[in-house]
Amino acid sequence: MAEKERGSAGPVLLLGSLFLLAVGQMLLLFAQRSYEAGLTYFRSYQLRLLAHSALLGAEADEEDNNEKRAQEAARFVLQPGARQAVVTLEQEGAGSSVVFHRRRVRAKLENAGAEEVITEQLIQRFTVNFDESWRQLAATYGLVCRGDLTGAEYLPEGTVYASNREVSYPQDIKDIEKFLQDRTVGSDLAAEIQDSGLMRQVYYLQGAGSFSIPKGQKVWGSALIVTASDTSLSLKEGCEFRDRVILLCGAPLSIGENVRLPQALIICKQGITVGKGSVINGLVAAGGSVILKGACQITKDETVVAPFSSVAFIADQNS
Amino acid sequence: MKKEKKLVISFWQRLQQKSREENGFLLLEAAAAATLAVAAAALLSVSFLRLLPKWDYLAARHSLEGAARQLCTGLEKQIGVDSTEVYLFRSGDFSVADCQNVSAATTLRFYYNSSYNSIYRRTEKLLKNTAGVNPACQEGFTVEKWQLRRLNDKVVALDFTLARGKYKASFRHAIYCVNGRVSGDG
Repeated sequence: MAEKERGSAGPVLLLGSLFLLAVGQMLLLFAQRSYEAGLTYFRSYQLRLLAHSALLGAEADEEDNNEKRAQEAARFVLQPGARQAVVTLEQEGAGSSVVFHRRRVRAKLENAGAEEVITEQLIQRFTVNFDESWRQLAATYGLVCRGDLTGAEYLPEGTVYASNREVSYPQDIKDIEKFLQDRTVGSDLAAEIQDSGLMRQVYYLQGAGSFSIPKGQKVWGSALIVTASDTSLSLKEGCEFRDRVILLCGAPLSIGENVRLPQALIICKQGITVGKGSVINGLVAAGGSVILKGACQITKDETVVAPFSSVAFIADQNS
Repeated sequence: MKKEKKLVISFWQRLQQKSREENGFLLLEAAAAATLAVAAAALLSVSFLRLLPKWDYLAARHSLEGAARQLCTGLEKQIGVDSTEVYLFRSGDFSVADCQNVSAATTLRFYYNSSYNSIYRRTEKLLKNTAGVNPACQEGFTVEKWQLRRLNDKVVALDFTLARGKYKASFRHAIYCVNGRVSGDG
């Protein structure tokens, strides 16, 4: 063939070379795309680490009462590529008696354009402070009611209580209700109590009807349990709480027989019924009347009005 | 220099002339190209064979980093966020962390399991009286060193060595306890 058609192998070689070139280009393109995808993922990971680190740094600063770092924007250089990243920190903390702390950290690349990767992390904590009047009340009485006290004779001798006393449902508790009504509290209290105990957080029970903690249930962990005015709460016979609990009830509260509350602050807008053999250490304050159904023990403990802080929750958001 | 340049140019012109006049010259070109290609392939394969162990090392290092990251992320969540109390102590050459979960009736223990040479997590639910054990570290990796130290009331320093096959890497990580306090020392 070479003798008759000189140079005929040229186009074949040319086509072969073109094919090899095309394959090479495709491989290069694929490698570039993979590298870019990997880099985007890596950048997002770097930003998440930065945000998390800044968030925990701010928490540690608060722990040390050092607020210098708060609100400052910090700049970092990310490698490879020497890209500038900015981390900003915002914090909110509203209210005096009900404090909702929210700290938000945002980490993003500077001049990012289309490849913008933003990482946001939130840490939230809810704190309730009881004012001085509650402290004084808890230091003086174990039981306070605005209405009548029925069965005072069942209380052991020397129990200090006050009836027909002006007990106003404090403003701070209204604030808690208002705060909770704007938000969805997704936890199932009954299941949580039976499965793993209370989680040092706020539980808001609402919806017409009643909610009860089952007979003989041992309840681990502390919590602030708030019930709406249409939901009554009932602690059934033999229930035993192990840790500090705060009950803010909008509807009547029923405490069954032999219920143990070793550290409880119970504030009820309406009446409270306490069964025989129950032991309550803390403060019981009712906006209505209190009925004691048999011999029971209610002792004062001023530590129950110490501020209650929920556990902190961290939420991660990427875009 | 000019003389050499002239020589090269005249050689090239003669080659062109020859290729126009003589049949089969293309075959010679193809043979020369093939020889060059074989030589280049040989060179490349030598370089590739040299790179291969490094690639093996890089791949192992990458997987070790991934396993360490996964282990640290898990611990950060379970010790740093979900625990209210962290108690550290030593058992033999390895540290143990006992954690009280924010769910009051749940406790966790992170410990070294000598049968599997790895870190395991034991979860105990006091109310249901049940306990379960799960690996905290990815399968296929062994832990050669595991130390947890208390830096202060809120920070646990984690120091560990992971191994996979003949490769190993050491890692250090600090865990800040958002909801908990640290006591003891491992």
